Amino acid sequence: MSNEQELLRLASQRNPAALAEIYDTYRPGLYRYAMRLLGHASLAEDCVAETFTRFLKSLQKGCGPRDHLQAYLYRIAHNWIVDLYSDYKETIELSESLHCEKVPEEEAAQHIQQQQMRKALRSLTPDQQKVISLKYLENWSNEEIARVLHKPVGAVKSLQHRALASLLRLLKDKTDEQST
Amino acid sequence: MNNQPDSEAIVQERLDVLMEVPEPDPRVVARARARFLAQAVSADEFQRHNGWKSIFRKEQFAMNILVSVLVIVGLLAGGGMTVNAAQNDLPNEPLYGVKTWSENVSLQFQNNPEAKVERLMELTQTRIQEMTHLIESGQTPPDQVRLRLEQHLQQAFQVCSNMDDAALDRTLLQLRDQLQQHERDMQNLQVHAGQDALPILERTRTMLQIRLQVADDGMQNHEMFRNAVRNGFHYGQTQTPPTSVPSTPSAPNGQQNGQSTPQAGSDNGNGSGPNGQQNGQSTPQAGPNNSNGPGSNPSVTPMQNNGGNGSGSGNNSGGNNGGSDAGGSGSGESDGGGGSGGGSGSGGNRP
Repeated sequence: MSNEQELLRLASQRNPAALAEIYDTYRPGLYRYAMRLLGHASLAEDCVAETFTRFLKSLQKGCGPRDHLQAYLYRIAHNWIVDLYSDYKETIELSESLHCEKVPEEEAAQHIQQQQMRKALRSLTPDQQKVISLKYLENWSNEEIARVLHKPVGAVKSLQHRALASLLRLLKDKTDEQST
Repeated sequence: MNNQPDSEAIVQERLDVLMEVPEPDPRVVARARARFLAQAVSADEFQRHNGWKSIFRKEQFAMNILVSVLVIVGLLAGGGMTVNAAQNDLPNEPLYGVKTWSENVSLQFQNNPEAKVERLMELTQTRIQEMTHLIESGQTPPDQVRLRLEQHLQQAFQVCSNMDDAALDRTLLQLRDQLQQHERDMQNLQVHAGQDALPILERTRTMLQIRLQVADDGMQNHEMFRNAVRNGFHYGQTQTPPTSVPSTPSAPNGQQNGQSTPQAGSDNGNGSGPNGQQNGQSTPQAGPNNSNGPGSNPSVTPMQNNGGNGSGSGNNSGGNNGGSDAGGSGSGESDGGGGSGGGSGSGGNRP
């Protein structure tokens, strides 16, 4: 933790080595996270780029994070994704459908499942989305998720419970639709 | 809550379809990394200029301000050098206007009355020096110099008229000393001047003599001085001196006075009566002027009465000075009785 604080102190002084180290450390995970939720490489790249840009701006303003950098970056990334969902929902769905047409038939079923899963996730509230994504896609602990949400661990557990119930219901409804 | 492990398992299983993520293109990753680091460097530049922006909002505006300030400083520095260079210029030289302008500006910054009078007397000294330089170089001083000298003196008197008694005493004493010195300078210049320059020098000397008399009288009676300055003693009045005029010569001088008096008469609306009697040339002017004398000055100030008295003492020097000056002041600044006394006295002394 002290290493992270030292890294952030150097980053706040716009130390290139520190900034490069932060980028190299967190970029792969952020990209994976964005890619899982968005399913589109260029959008995931945009998400990562915008996350680091916002991080730089916060450093310039002197209001950057002093610790828990990972939680800070993932929170930015997820908020960006949520904003994208709300602003460009139709565009994302269109691009996903176009993407579907390009994949081979044997991968189509998997891709449709991915689409359904992302759509179900997007139906959750933003905090529920964060809990489910970070817990089951990134394997974070409740404590780490609590830092992202700025909520106590108990609240995270409660959110997790409601999110699971909602997600199961959504998935069950989708399955019923397909069976009928 | 008992169902949660099952729910977790189901969700985890369903989410597994999202776990597999293709590796990003390394070139894209490298470009994104380079872009981020470049962004960090440019952000650093931005931070360094932020202080400017907080003041001026836009760097372009800040640059414009900087250039403007430099231009103004350059102009001021250049202007300062020009003004400095102009200080030795004479009236016929190109920077003389700058010199007089700078003098006027310097007066505007004088708030203390005594300091202002002192500055004005410095300027009168400057005018005398200009006349001296021009005479020495064989030129005739333009009337502009005399008028400006007269203006300085008038301004000095006006400032004095607003002083309290103690300050007025001190200042008038200094004024008188300097006027005496100026008058002596004029006298010396007349000796060396060419014929063309004599009229202007004589007019200047006459004007100095009048002011000298006013200063002398003012030292004896402050209230009289103040009234005289405020009411009857305006800039541009070239009056003939009422009293003891230092001896200067001669027929040419007398002729000069004779010529200048009608001008004085035209300014004052008086004063040329005796002169007219002397020369027999300006008699037509003398009539109206004399008649205007009392008429135009219905309220005779104590100072003007002094003028009348002065004409009496002028009798002593009237012979030397052509008498016209004494007579002129007698009729101009005193009532009719004073004027006639002066006139007759000078006439008697006139050869």
